[in-house]
Amino acid sequence: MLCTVVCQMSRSDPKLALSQEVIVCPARVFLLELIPLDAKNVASAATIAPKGLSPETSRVTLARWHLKNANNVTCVSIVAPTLHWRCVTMTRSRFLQGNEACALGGIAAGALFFAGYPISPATEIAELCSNLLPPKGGIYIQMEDELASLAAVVGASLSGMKAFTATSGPGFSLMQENIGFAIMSEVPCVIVNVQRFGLGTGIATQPGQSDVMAARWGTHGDHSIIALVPASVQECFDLTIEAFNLAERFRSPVVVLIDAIIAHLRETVRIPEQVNKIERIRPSGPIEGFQPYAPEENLVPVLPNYGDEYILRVTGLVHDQYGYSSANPDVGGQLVGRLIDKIELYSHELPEPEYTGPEDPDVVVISYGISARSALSAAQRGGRQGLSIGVLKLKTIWPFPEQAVTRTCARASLVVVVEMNKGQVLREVKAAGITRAIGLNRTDIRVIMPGEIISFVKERCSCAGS
Amino acid sequence: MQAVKDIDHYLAHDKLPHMWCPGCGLGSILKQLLLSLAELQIPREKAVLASGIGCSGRAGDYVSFHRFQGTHGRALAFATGIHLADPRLTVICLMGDGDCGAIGLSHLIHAARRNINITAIVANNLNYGMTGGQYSPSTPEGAITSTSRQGKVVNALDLCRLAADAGANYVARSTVYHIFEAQKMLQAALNTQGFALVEILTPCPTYFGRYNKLGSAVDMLEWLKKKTVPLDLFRKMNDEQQQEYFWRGVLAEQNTPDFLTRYRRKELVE
Ligand SMILES: Cc1ncc(C[n+]2csc(CCOP(=O)(O)OP(=O)(O)O)c2C)c(N)n1
Ligand code: SF4
Repeated sequence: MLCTVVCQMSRSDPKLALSQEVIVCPARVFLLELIPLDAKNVASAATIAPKGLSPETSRVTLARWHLKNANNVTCVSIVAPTLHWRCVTMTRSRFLQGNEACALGGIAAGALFFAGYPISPATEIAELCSNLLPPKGGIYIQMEDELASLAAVVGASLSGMKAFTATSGPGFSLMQENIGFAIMSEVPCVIVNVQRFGLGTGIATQPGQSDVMAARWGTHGDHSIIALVPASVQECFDLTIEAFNLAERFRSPVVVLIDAIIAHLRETVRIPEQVNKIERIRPSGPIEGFQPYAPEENLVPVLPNYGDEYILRVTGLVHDQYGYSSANPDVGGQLVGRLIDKIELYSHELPEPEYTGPEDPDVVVISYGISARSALSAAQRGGRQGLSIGVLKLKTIWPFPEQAVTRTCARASLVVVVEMNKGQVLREVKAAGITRAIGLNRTDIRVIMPGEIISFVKERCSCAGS
Repeated sequence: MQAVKDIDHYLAHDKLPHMWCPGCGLGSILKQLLLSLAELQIPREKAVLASGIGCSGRAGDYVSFHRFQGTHGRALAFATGIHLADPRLTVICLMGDGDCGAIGLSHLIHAARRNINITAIVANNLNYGMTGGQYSPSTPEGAITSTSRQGKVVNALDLCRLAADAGANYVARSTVYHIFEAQKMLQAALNTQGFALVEILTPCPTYFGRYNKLGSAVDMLEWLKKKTVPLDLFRKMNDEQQQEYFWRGVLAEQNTPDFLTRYRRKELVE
């Protein structure tokens, strides 16, 4: 039994230098310590709370008591020795692998259904779901192949369960027809692709970042798709939640593109007690004559689930607003147009790229996934060597965040796109108008190291000598 | 939830007439399915018709209840998710013999193996209707199709035997000629807790009938009558005779607990 006090502290507090948590959490930190819940502790903890300080002004502020659900707290961390009182937060920290964080993110987002087929380097996601879902009343099912896995996920979503699957390149290729189907029939679901090296069977356990275009254009036909790219274990958790929310918001499949390094990396992850979840809304209005595919103002329809009195007609054929198939050219044209517009016109709602670096850098490095981690480290080290490098780390890779990219690169003399492929994002950066962008690419399973990025920049940037 | 007594409630009247050719058996199969739903008083909102891609897949356009049409061959895999996420639904898969027996065959075997609580109907017109009469795995050896002008080389695949061997709780076959027998089988299938497969041989006068000179649609029905024998009689035939006939009847009827029952009971997977 525990009682909980949330303590917010500023990062700059030198007293906290000892705490592991300070390094991990970006702006504010939560320090953790277990306190047994009894009347004495509750009282004593209350008396030590600094009075009259707001979270904004205080360096150390006792923010809140959480006496409910306090047994969620699992992690103890070092409290700076000069602090004479103990604090516990509801935000759990766990030391997790990327794949685990992804599975936990999906479950935190409300997923109750996972269908999959084993494949390296994604298998841990399935394994964890097979353990965690049944006790929650959810379903884990191992299907006969990836075609069937995504099909079962789509079916489950239409019956009202948030659902996901996880795979790697070969399985991702097999899923493509059903991804297009899910886009066409507007089925929210999440597909995690833990990218391995190479085409074909590649090297099963080695990393790559070469499924970027497969995620964008793998399925046939004109379409838009949302794809997110975590660069840390924390982002595996956060962006999987985000993926589920976006899937519901846009009623479309969302791809999470992880690479094998991030998927198998272990880092501390903050798992909040409550996550922001978008739940499906039920249609309203008369049941007779209901048109499941009539879009709302934001171009997204409010579809019922199977079993609802509102009747749901789903087909991958071109269909009218009733869901009946149609061969009418106008119906087909408008449908495809709306499916694209409902995402592209609202892409500002998607996670923005994160810029780290000086205000007006000489060099902008655009990267994502494990390569972005190297880029961030390179920028830091390069800074100490007199280089002015800013890093634009993508979180949403599709639709491609053109505006943020052009804005960030506007004045930089050198724009480098760092990725473990032959230049798949580089093409997009150039298409966005940054034609001077150059690529630092690797396709040999080796991670692009910070030193490599620094040398690359030094060789090409006139600013480097200064 | 109101109980439905006649099939009118299940039909999307404004979508009729249907697109099927004159003399096609698919309309009769759909009607028998709807009659079975009415007979069992399955409420409209609790039924889902998941169909494949092909002529038979279009059936979903003519029903007024929940329908699903996925990608070619995958109806059973989609239906697996539909059923598991809401087991209160009555999930029916209507597939062509190409859809279920060629591109989607593994899903049939695994759905039967899992004994998942779905009713599968294969409308077996002995060829690919939608794409213009090519041979399918169920096309009999020697039959003429647009891709076997000299006669099909390989003998026909018996989907029913496969499903029964894989562990389906109920497996039966009939024809559009024996439509009342077919309806009884459909009801039995819908009443089955577990995987049920009903294969219904159906005339495709436009392609299979024309290529094989089987005459009019009515002649094709007569052909189905002549070409099929009850299962017990079939079993007494020698190999050569068996090649000439299709069996009709109930091949499997058992009461093994279905996938979800076992999953929830043991919290075990498969
Ligand atoms: C992946 C894929 N391959 C091929 C097709 C083309 N196709 C549409 S229907 C069909 C065959 C239908 O035959 P069957 O399942 O026997 O149904 P029928 O039309 O005879 O009712 C094919 C091959 C498709 N839609 N998708
Ligand atoms: S092609 Fe054959 S199966 Fe298709 S609608 Fe015509 S008769 Fe029926």
